[in-house]
Amino acid sequence: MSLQHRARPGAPPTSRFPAAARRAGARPAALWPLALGGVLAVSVVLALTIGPADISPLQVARSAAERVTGAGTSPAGGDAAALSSVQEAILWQLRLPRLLTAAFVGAGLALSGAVMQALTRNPLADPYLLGLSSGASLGAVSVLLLGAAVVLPLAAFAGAMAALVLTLSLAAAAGSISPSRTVLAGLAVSSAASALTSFIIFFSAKGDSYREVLNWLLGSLAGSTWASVAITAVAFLLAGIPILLTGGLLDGFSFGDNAAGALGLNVPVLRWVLLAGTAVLTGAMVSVSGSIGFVGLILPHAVRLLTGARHRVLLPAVALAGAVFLVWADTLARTVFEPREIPVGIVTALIGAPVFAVLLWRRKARS
Amino acid sequence: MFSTPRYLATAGALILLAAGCAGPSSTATSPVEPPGGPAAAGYPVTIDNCGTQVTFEAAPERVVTIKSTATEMLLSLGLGRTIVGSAFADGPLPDAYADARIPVLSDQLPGTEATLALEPDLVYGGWESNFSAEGAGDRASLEALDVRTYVSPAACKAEGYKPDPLTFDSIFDDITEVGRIFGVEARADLVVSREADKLAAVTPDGSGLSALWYSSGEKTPYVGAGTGAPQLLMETVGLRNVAADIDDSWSAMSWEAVAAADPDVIVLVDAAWNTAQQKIEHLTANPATAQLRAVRESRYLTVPFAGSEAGVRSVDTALSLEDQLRQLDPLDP
Amino acid sequence: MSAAGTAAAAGELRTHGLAYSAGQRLILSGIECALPGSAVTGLLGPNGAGKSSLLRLIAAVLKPTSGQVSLAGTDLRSLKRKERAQHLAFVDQQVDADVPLSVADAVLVGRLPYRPAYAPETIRDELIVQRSLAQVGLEGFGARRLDSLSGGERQRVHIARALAQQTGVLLLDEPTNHLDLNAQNGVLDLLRGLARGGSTVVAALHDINLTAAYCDHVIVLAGGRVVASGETASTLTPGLIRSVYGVPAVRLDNPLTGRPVFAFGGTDQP
Repeated sequence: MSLQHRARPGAPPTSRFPAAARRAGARPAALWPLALGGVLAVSVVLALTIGPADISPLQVARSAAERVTGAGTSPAGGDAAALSSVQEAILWQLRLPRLLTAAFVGAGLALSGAVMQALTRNPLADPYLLGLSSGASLGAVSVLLLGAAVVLPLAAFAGAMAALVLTLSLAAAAGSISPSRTVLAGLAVSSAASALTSFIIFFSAKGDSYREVLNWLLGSLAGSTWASVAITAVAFLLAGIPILLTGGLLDGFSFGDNAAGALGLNVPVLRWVLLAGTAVLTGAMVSVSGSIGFVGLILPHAVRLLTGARHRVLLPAVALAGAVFLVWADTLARTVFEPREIPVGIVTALIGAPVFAVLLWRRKARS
Repeated sequence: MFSTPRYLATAGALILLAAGCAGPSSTATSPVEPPGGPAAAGYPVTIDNCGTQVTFEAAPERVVTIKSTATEMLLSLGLGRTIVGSAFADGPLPDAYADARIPVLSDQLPGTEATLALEPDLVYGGWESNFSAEGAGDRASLEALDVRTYVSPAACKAEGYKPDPLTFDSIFDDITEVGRIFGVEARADLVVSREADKLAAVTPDGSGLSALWYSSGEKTPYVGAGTGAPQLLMETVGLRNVAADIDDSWSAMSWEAVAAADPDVIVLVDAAWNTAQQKIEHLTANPATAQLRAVRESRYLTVPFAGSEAGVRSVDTALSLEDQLRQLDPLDP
Repeated sequence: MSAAGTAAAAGELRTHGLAYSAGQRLILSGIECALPGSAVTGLLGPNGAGKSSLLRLIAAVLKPTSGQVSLAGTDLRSLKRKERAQHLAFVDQQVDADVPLSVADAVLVGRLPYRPAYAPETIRDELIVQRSLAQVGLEGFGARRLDSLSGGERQRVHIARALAQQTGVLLLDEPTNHLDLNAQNGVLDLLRGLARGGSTVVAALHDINLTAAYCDHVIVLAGGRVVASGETASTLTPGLIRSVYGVPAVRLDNPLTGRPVFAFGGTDQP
């Protein structure tokens, strides 16, 4: 058959090629993920030395070296630098799992936000706004009260997925899924889910046990364990990594579903698979940390300013930036009022709301 | 629509009440006798309660109590029969009041209408937050309906009223104040001198042990801080509160700060919804808290939730802590 | 294969008994038409006639209720999505992309059908992007942000994206909407140039005179059916315009271009 490629007519003169090559070589945006990866590594190491307990960076380094090499090494530092078993536990059972959980939760939420913004072509889309977080909370609170903490991540995922399906079918009920309709539908779903969650808490919390649930609804990384790290890491591996690998396809959604279809993308399938991936991420993260707001909304916008909107670069950068952001937000949450601490959701909202206002203002100023 | 008859009924009751109350203040020969003892002179009684002025024209006769501290205060003053409904109990009553038959309004915080339906002349709450529009009703609205309100003064939150820090003297003053409100000063004095005598017998532990007052919370522990009943009780029995620097009665504290302090003893609050045993399981299951000295050596004291807040039970709680502390093995070197 | 043989190589694009309904509503039926290569074909018709639907059916982003679209005798729906995207490019009605893509990145999207989902773009992709931008006269615009361009420039970027797709068929829905006169002519000149190079260009258009001035062929739709099709000069007549739009028209010759131009009367005139 004769369906074959033709050379395009009017091939450009070769004199244009150097310009093209220059562009291909000089893509500074592509370096952002590398740079942010470095920042994340440094952040985790630094944050490991920060906390209410008085443990010096030197002691942290020594203890880390001992863990890596296997046993107590040189006594050169003297007893002053040696850590007690409680201090060891503070470092390796409290701080490190909490830092890693913060990193995975931040990465997962920011990535979810970026993917949802692309798929719904809606700059306001994020797990919080489309009701996924509230749905996940509802699922989690329901099983918490049934006392089945083991299935918490699954229940949270089920809640997130149900909220997502509900939001999108509500948005589609009146025709095609437009951005504004999606946000309105998300608002309706998240309000309903939040109301149900509040109802459950209001009716079942005894004595002062509401405190724990409240902390959890505001979003908190306190109490993160290695189990939390495992849950968030597995979710990121299962859903986050595939999304990162195929993220380039999201560029195809930039000019509408029809344009995406004409580019050879299976639009409905791709949309649902990717959205289900964000539901897995959001569900797992919410089941560990509660619903932390603004990470999914703000980070994609902020990182786009640095890297541009190409998803192949944007997605890894946004995941890493989300991780860095939440590591530091949580470090603030656990140290600013030490020995007290505040839910990290308060910190992200306090930082996120003004940043969002600035982004809106910039957008308005540009157009 | 259906609220109108009830409103009228309430208003009617209030008019009757007002008419009845006119007696003692106008004619000295009135046979009206406040419950709990002979008529006390000195009404009206005006007190400044957490910044709210409350004036009692006579001893309250129909009281709704919210939280155990309020109920137990009235029982200790022999005013049990004035209680028309008790609510939001923190746990069972102490054995001494096992025979008391107190009508229960609600296990949780009752709503305004349910509270008013009992036609109380006083709502006595253990926490300021009990008086919210969603709860028993805000204080001004209740006062407008001619229902007095009273909050255990140790639970006041406003500057100048909150405990700074709580002392046994202020707890005793609270007992005296309730005695004045109900016109049972003599009985109140008796209770105060009895509690003061018991308190005088408490010998603080001299070994300088540090302690954590673990009230609730798994992700973030809610602990007894520097100014409230936990601080007072621990100080009384010779324990050094690891959260003493936090300027509050109770507060959230990070596990890391707890671990850094590594207390010698942990005081566990025992509540039906979160028992001391559950707390011990959580402490041992978490690899970080399992390293705490008190956890490794099982050095726990327990306090029933109802005894963990300032009130007539506080001295008994101190005695119990002293006793439990004495029975702990000495610290490993 | 040389550019000279392109018309034959592109193969003929045809629709066969194409019908489409959305829910209960019949949008198109019995669409039987040929879309010649090396030519610009204009799709004309009043609002709701089914122009956009027909374009989307040809682009295979919509599934017909019955009938098929063939390219050189091959049913387009029998191809894999990516293969199809290597033969047909589609520029939708201008959606205001609120995405801060650079011009080059927007064009690079056109290379998606040529690589696996996980593969990064190659130097070759980058070169094709540059070439496509040059073809639409936007050389040097690569680093600009899409939302900093004028409407006409942005439409050229979309066409460049279609060019980067390296297809023989180019489908455009209202490519001159919201453009000023100069930009309208610029875009249509560009499309004619591409057709002269061998492409099959099909554009849904609103403006009868633009169609008359630039399209080699015209297909006129009304009520979901083809009411006329053929060479523009012979097909587009005052009688057709009156019957389709209900507007009286006279045909004149444009003294500047030599192409036909129509003058319209009011609907209430005899």
